[in-house]
Amino acid sequence: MILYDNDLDADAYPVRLLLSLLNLGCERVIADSSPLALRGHGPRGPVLDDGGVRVVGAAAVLRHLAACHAPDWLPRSPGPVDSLFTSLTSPRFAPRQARLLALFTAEGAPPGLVEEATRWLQDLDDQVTLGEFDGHLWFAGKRPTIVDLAAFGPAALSADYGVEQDPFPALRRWIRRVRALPGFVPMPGVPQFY
Amino acid sequence: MPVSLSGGVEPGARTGTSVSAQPVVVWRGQDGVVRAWADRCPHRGMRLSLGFVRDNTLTCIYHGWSFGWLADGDGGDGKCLAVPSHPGAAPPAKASVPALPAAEALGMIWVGTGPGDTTVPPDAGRGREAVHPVRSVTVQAPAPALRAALEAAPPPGTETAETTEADGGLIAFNGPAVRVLAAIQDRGDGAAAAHVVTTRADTPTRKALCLWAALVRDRLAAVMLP
Repeated sequence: MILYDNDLDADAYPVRLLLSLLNLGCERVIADSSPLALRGHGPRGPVLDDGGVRVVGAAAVLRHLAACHAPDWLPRSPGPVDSLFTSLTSPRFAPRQARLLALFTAEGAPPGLVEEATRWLQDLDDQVTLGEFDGHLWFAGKRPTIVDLAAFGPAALSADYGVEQDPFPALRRWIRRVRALPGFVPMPGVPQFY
Repeated sequence: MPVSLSGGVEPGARTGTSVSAQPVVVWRGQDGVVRAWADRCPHRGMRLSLGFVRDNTLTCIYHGWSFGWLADGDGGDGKCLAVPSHPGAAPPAKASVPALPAAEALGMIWVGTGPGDTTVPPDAGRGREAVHPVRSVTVQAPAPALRAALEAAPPPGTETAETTEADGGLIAFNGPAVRVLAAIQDRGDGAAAAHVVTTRADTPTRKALCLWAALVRDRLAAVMLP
């Protein structure tokens, strides 16, 4: 198995996380994906070569890895979780765009986009807050799924686009839960020590 | 002043907040004790709220200076306990983080704005029934506006609201079957937070109160838009 990505690519981060959590051996080839994706051309996110099968894009790679190697990590009820997953992996997803513009352009992220990203964090906090009352510590219920991993990057990397997690207690608890998963790996902006 | 619900800072967790515009790091050691310190490392000024908790010490993420308190009880929170780059040397005695008084009452963490000022409501919890956490909401609005917004839209099941200054300005919403307590945090940085608890333990009531708090927050945020 070969993963083409780079350390700064937040789209590929959930893939690296899942590979590590599942303890799947994988060769990594550094590919220049983030700034290219920002300009709207070039490969979109990570590419996985799994024994000759080539999967392109974070969403497809996550689904492929879970389906082939760890069906437990697929959300059992599609519906709302599916649509959350779709929005998370969309190129127009505000936290993703805000981070790319903040990190890779001189102008930085426009305030409107940062506000939209902040609202996303707040929505996440609202959702986790309600879920915790029902004992749902993860987005799809009682077990972590690829949706948690896909949401983790843009949430944990919020400082990259200038937004703090401090006002969102449930979000912080969920971040600590993801970080506590055996095999968790950090990325630049997600410190090892926490 | 209230800064969080108790569950907002678990053992081993830290968070930044703001008390009357003063940046504060609130953290809980594995001993379960909550501490509130100035959010600034005395070494290079890094925010300690970006650091990490190990056992009962808080370590700065920048150069790894650790802070805690000495077991021999000479007083003094926030003492520097270790500097990784000088493992053999005694930690600098003058490098300590100013500590603020912190305490837990009514299911919330309260932090004083200066030494000697606990700002924990003096009668908090006394003679009151047990409370259960609902949630905290933060909004970009002045504290009086958040207070007014909450009072103007009392939670479902309550009929009267009373505010007691002796209770740190706590708003108590009273109903026949439920009491809801909301404590307002004036962050002083243009934002305010409400920390909400209730006397009811059942999930449907607390979820309904969660939605209520979020609704008040969202309505106020819409009004505050420039």
